Amino acid sequence: MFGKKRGHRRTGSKTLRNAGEILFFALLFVLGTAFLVLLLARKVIPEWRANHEFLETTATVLDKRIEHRHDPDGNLLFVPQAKIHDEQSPDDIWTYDISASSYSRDADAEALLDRFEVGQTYPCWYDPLNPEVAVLVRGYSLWFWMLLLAPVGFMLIGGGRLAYTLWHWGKSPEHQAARGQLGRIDLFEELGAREKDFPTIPHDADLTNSPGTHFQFRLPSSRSQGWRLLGAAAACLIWNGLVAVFVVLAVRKHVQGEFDWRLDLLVLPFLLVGGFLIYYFVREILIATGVGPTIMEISDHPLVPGQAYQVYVSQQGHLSMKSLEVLLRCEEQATFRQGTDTRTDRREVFSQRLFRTGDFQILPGEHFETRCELRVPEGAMHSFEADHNQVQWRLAVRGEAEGWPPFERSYPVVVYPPPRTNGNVAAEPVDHVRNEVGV
Amino acid sequence: MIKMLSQPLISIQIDQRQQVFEPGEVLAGAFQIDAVEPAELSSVEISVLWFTEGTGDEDLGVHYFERWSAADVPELNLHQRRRFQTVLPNSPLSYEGLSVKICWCVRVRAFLRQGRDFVAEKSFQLGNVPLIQPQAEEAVEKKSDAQAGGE
Repeated sequence: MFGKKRGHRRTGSKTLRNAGEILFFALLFVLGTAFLVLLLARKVIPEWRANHEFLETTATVLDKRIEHRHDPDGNLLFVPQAKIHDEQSPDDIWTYDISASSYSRDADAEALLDRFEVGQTYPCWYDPLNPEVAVLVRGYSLWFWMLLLAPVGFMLIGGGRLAYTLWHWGKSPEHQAARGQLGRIDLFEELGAREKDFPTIPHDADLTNSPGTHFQFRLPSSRSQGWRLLGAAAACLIWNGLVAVFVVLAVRKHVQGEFDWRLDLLVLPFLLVGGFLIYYFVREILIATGVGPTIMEISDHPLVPGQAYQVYVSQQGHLSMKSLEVLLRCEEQATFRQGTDTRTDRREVFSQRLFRTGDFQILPGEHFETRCELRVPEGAMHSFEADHNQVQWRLAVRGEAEGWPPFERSYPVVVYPPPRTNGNVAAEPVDHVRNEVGV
Repeated sequence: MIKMLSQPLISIQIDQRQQVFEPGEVLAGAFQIDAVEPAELSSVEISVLWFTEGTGDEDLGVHYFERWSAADVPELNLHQRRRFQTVLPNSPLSYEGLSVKICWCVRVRAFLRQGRDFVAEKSFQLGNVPLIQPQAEEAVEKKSDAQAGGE
């Protein structure tokens, strides 16, 4: 917690850090356990015993009262109680339910006691282990059972992290990584041979599950327009909804002749942001509805540097196009933590225009289409995907149409390393992670 | 009396001093640990791994890992020169990008009984991906074969 990252090194003792972590999570676990035991002993078990193990008898109600108590915050609470006499207990006792339930309103406590008349006989249940304990009412406080989630949460977080830290104690990063790779289980399907032979190269199953009409594969777009539109709509509505409250307040003051310039100054920047969000939302709607779908198909996938592929592009809509381009791009993506924020840095490292045209019409009910050749440069870096770093290849269609904002749609592709002359390497057996005893 | 902290001397050699490898090639070599009493070593690990450098947080992937522990085999001589050998994978290739770099190395880690550990590594290159230079958009002029209304 107190160490700093300097380049690739961290200051501070790793042992102390681990010890501190163990202490903290052990404390969390112990607190959760203690809290759980307390709740079980004071509430859960007595309630359960009252409902399952108490024996039924009859009791006569001798008196009723509402006891006053105070909670830890000093608030007044009302506890309904009835004085009963039953055959099992030598003395008369004040009781109601096993939890001595309390209520914040006097009327609620009274309403419960009104069910019992003084002098009348009612069923009651007594503890066979301690006949002096008896109740007139049984049942479960369901809200209370939900309270158990709190200590269980503490235990899960504390215990889980404690187990994780102890498991990794004294293990080097290489050892941890090797164990993680050895024990990796794909929950939904076994790793394909391709993924094992080409580690860190992203899966391309989602890119090749849609056949094309002109070429073998139809590529999916990387961004769902629907989600972007939904995001823009949500941001616009929520922001402007909140700002509207203050705008109405400010306008009302103006109408009433009370000029609050501080409120006006405060609302102004928020109003400007709200205006931009409206503009952005309208722009997204225009693009979604006005610019028709773009279809991208490719002759083969995945791609390999140095080889040529055919690409088919189709653009629909009622548009007067100023320009339309098809590009091949490579982008590096690096994710890092800066304080409490997580940031992602994206840099384009390669861009090649495959096709460009301009000044043409797309008529309603018709579409523009073209084919072009794609060749990933020799020696180009393959696609790479790790937790914090990625190298991504994509095809992009960029267009400018008269009267519409510029649009761009991208289609991820996966580039593999070039094949070796004697074939690619099959993965080594998993047991290259040797046993710890030594060989 | 002041007790000097011993720092082991870890030497790693790759056969034929080869520095560039292709996927599928055999990476072989040897390592040895000196300048520390045998009784002070508790365990030794060797790994062939890749890791990332650059703007993003570090990622690490282990291709080959082996560990020897004196606790499990007390008669084991952790000092002795040991060989290692592995067939290098198809990916990821070594890469020097603008924000992302992928580096391969052989790493030896020696653990002492006092709890400290010491690391040495020897880098090598897997594959031959050229250095990335910041690039402006490269236009490939093609004749327009626009067809409106389908073929």
